[in-house]
Amino acid sequence: MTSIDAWRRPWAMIDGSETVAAKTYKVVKGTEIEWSADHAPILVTDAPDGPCIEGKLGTSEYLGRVDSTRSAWLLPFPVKSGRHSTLHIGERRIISKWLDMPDAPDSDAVEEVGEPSTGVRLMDRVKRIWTRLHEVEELIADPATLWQQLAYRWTGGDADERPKMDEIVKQARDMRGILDRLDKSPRRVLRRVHARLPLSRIQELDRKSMTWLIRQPGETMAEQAGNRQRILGIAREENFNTLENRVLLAYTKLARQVALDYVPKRIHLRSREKLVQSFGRRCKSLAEDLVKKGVTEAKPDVTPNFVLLNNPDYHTVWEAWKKLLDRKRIFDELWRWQARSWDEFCALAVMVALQKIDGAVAVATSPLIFRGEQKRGSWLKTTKPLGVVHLSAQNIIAEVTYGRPLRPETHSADSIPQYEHLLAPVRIRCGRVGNQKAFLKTILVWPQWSLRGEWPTDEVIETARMLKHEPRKLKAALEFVAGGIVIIPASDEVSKTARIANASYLTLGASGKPLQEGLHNLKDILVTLLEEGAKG
Amino acid sequence: MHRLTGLDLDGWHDLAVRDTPHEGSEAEIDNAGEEPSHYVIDGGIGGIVVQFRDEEKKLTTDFMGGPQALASAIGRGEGWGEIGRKNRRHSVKELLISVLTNRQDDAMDADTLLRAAADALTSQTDEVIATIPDHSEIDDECQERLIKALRRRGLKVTLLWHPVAIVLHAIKEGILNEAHIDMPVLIVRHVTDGFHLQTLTLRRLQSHAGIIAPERADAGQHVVAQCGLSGLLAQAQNVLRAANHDFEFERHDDSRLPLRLLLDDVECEKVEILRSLNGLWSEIKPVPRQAFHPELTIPQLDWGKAKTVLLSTPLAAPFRHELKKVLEVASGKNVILMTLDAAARGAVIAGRRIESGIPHYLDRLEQVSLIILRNNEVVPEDLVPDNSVVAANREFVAHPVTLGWPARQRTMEFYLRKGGVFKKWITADVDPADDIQAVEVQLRQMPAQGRARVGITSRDWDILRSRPIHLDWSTLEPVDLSFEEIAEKLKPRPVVPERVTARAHIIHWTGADRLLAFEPFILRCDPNNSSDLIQLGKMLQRQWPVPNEATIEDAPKYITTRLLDYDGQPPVGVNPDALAALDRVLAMIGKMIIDNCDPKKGFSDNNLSKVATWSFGRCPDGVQNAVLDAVKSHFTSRQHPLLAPRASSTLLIHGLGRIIIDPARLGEAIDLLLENWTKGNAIAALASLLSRPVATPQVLTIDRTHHIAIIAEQSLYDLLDKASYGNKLTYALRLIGGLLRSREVSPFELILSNSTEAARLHTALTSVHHEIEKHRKHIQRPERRLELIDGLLNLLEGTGGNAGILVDLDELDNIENDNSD
Repeated sequence: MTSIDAWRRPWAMIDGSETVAAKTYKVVKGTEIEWSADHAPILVTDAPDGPCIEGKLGTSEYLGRVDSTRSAWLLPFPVKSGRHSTLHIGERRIISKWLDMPDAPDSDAVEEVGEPSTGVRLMDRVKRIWTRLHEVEELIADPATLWQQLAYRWTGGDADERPKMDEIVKQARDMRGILDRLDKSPRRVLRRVHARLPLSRIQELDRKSMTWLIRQPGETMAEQAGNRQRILGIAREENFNTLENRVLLAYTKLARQVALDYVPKRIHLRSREKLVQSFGRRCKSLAEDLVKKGVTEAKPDVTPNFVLLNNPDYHTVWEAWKKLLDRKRIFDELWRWQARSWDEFCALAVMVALQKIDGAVAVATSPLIFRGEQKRGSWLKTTKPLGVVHLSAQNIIAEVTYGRPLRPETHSADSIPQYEHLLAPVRIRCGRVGNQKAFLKTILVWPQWSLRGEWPTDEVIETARMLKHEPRKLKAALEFVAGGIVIIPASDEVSKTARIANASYLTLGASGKPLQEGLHNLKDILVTLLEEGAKG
Repeated sequence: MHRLTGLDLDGWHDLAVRDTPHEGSEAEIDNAGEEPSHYVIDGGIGGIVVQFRDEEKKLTTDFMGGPQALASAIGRGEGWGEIGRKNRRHSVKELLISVLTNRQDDAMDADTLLRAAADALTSQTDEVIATIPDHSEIDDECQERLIKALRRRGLKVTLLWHPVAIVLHAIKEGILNEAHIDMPVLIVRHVTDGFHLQTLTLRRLQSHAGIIAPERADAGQHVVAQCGLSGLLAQAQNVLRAANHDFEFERHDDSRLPLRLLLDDVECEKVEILRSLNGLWSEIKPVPRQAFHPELTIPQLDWGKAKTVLLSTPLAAPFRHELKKVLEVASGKNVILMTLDAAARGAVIAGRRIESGIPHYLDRLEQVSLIILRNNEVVPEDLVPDNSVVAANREFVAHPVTLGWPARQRTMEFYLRKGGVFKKWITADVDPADDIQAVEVQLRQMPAQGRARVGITSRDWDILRSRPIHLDWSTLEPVDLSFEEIAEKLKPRPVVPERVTARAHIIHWTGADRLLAFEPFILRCDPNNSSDLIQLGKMLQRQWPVPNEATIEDAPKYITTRLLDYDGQPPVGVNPDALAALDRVLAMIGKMIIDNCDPKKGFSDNNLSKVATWSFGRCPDGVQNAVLDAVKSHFTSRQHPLLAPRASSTLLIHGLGRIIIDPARLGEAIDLLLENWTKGNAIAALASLLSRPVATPQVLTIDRTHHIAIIAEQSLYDLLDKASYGNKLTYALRLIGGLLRSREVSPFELILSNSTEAARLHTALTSVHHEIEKHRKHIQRPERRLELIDGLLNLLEGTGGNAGILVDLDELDNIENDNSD
């Protein structure tokens, strides 16, 4: 039978002690897995293709091999936690349930009254993490100073709540001229209608008008036209209610909504926010104009017509509308893969903290490219190593690697690379410059996603014990581990830290004070661990 | 606001400058009215582009240039593992050379890589103004290649000459001002292997008061010098190695310290951490700047008339000041050192000038002329006049050249002259019109933005109006001809009628249903056997229709074929044994004829001479002489053994027309027939001799031509007298057609306008034409005859006509006269 474990902690494999075992992993025997919301859902199985969610392969993220037969996979969070998903793993069929995971909030436009729900708060955190990652794209215009600016933003309290290059900002800049043009001369069609027209204005008679005409009493045309001297004919009326204008109306309404949501509720606005605000107003007035002209709103599922596809202005509107509609999808994806985005954010945080250490000089840093479209929670393209920093005061070199191992073609026992089974996405190798003999040691960083962001103290102790004692059992693997850092999302306005032996624990926020403090704490922890690591 | 970036890529110190803040910046965007501040984006020194795999999408390769590439570990060395492999790193310097010189390297796509270098510095922008070196090797094609490499979706790329950018910045900074107007300024740019020199003259813009723009007269100059940047870098490398003599350079990544020492103002004295091949770390100490004294020597040059020199170099501060001093001494002029970002800033200024419709500089375009025929004279007509100075912010639209597009012509050939080189342009096919059409050739060119666009359009002719023809420069090949030679080629040439030759077909040799195969027959043929001889004669004479394979419209379904063509050549693919047998038999027959010519022997029948004369050009030489003799004897009423049999004279005279192909005998035969043209069959033979052999045009001397023309005219008038328009007419027409073959040697022979013979023939033909039209009811195939006469009239007029007229005449002759002589 295919073996299936549900892991709470990525180091569950080496943590074999009876007392902790119950907390770190669970062997799935029946047909159900229950996940709780205080950890990322890691599923360990010996099925070669991994879990198949709702009949789809490739919907879970490969984390690495934990032993000679089994691999670990990260599952996405459900947008609606009440809905159970079915997993096919090998020949087994498992129902995946979520105990205390909130639902993703429906729309980001809805203004919450009173205390925000857990789901809204979580979504808020997700968005802030995304905003941090998004800053890479904003700063890319001057790549020479990318890391400095990133560090400046994160530690300088300049970290915004909302991304500066949000789609609506782009559109506010690009779409204005187009909306002005379309407002001046929206496309119109001339519709043929029947109307009683004065004889002099008649240009066309169709069958219906002729039938009408011959039924009129009188012999001459003048007699038939009656005392008002009008007969039925074809009139052409301007009509604006075309598909492209309906889409334009739908777009302006949506853009107005998104713009309202983007602009924060405070008096002093930044220029970008002002831009979005005035764009929102422009959209509102255009929407009103269109409604006055008798345009109705298009449904999101309309098929584009020729004008929408080929008229440059209307096509831009069409594309922009699609992108705004896609926001919902982006947020859903963000929600599903928030655990992975957290990994990525923590990797950047480690680099930022390292470079903040006095005397730190970057020897090499990986190119950072912001993806337009995420890949299972990953927003940045990076290379390994993510960065190499020389701490000149301590004369230490720290090499940060971020990323999961590539999935091997075949699963064989002998070739598991160092530390892969510990499932730490961020690894820091440290050593001294010029010391050709010193062995390089590694600090493992586990970004540990959690809903509430709390960390029971006893687990810190367990982790420390694991790092200190367990290496004897798995000598080959842990011989050179200099320490471990667990980073979990901060739940409140402070960053907490705890350290026992070489195991450190830290809560880190995605913006504001918890971010600044967290980075500061992370820096301190890194200095200590690196110094210790470089000792022997 | 339109986001604009000035880009100065040279691979030594790449820079970009934008005048709008980037997206992440908090700077206010909408401060209209103020002079926008410039934001400098430093691309780093010794720019590179790296390539790496995206971890998520395993098959795609990503490229990264600029500072991120310099900072990355990619391609640094083996110590970094797989990612450090050196072939992942490409220097921008090399890429620029590859793109500009079109040096193709299969291993990498220079365009894509260079684009990555530019992208890194120009994100979040709508338009890039990129500098391009200005020297004579940078032609229009180089510009196009660079634009193509830099262009990406949603981005406009405009090129700007590097010296122009420098001068624009100098004007903005007040270094150059009103005092320098109409004065030349020399711009010296320090490059990899030396210097680029360009002299620009400052001009006051007529259209915009108070604005100064440089005027560019010609391409700049490239001077190779020892103290080019690569030479200096080598010196810096040596100094570093000398200072760290115990450092194992080979076992580490390449050090960037030499580059920093030479070019970096700030970080030149920082310790560098290098990774060794086994993955560990080492430290390397930099050379203090005071300890490095590069050799800066400048070659002696003609520094021109300019009083002011602007120097642009990426060297670090002490060295660039040193270079300035050296340059001042060498040139004896006032040298102004420009800042590193001058070119990129100048590019932004140019971009904003273009945006507001102000010329950023004045360019002198290269003269482009079209060689055309106007009023029967070949003249060059300028598309771009010589010395035309144009504002570079707008497209230059030349005055259109109007031409006539000949009727029923699918393509036209033009000769273009650009930069003293002639190029031949054959236009793409169009549906031809029935009449001559007026077309306009127009040139448009954006200065320094690649090649000019030349188009042919028409106001009235629908086909060209809706789909103008555009010139594709890449298809033009330079022609190595002088103007006179081209003029000679362009003059319209009268049509030359093609000679006639029969079609030999293999079917005669291999046989078919109802067609006896020649091959087996000839292999067993005995010329001593008279029935074989008769059979051979018949086979040589016979014609056989074969389905026509040509797919031209109106082509006849069948074509007539023979065993041998008029040159005596067999068809392709004949069994060589059979051919040898034929030659053997013919040789035997030839011998028999010559033997029999002995007055003691004589001939009893025509069989032998029939075979010999129907073998066309294959007839043995001896027999040709004998036949010539016999015909001579016949005309002079003398005896000849060959003339003994009945009806032999007709056979021999016609035969003479068939067998003679070599020039010497041809002349003799023609003269003989001319002298006796009134005698029976002479004209027929003459017609064959004029229309068939290859050598005919060579032997058509002025005398002979004149003589033949008179005969042809005379025979036409004879026909008019007799009102007979049968065979004789065809012979006369064939004479005229054959005469026109003399155009093969001198193309303008027998043209109505310059030849009395042609005029007389024309008159005679016109009369015949009238007569036939009048009596068309009594004449066989009048339409065909009229058509052929029309064709000849056209040929004589020199305005066109059918080159295949002789073939048509020959066919008519064949149809009406079975040639059973």
